[in-house]
Amino acid sequence: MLSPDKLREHIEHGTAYIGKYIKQGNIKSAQPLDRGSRIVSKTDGLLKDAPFNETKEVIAGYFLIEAETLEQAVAIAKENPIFDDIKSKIEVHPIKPIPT
Amino acid sequence: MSLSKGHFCFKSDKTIYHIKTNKMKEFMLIIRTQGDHLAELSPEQQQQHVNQVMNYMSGLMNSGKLNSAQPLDMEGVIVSGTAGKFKDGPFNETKEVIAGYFLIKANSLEEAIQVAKDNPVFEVGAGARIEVRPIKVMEGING
Repeated sequence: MLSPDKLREHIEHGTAYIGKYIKQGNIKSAQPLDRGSRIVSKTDGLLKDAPFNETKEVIAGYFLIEAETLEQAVAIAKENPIFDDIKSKIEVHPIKPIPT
Repeated sequence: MSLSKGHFCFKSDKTIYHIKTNKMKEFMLIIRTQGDHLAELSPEQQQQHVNQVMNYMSGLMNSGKLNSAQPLDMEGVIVSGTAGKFKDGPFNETKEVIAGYFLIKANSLEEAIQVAKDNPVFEVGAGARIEVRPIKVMEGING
């Protein structure tokens, strides 16, 4: 957990990072995700939902970006200020073209 | 015109308009599958699945619940470490992967869960799971 001051500083860094890449046309949308999530799964034809284990690794947010290449997307991910304050990982997935 | 909790509707020019009067919340639905869940499907089955997904999406769009949705490719990179000392490598795509996302609006977590349960991924992907996450409202970012 970050202290209130550290959290404010972290949000400022995050906002500056998002602002920079929105201006450059790379970030399309970005939001943090909250706790209190559920996981929906299907077993033996039955759909059920249960609390999601949030004590292990969780997805804390997402960035939907546009980049020329996967390498550029990775470089943008590496600039994310999350790495300055919190031990974390970022998964970089290309969007799949929808078959028509 | 009828008025009920949370929304009202009225009829004009033979069209029924539903107006939401309360502010809906945003949720991210993260689709998790065991590897590439479409790889085992025949081209016909894939086409059928795409049609089902399109129907599902237009249903959500027509009720004002869909913000954006896209499938993710299997290739990708995972970046970890700390600034200045990064590692980036492929992640294991034979285990559970994130196959796509739906950014939706719903009145409650329960409604978001119901939207997740309607997802056609459960028709094709054995072991598919959907993580339903409320969007966090943070002052300075999206608040």
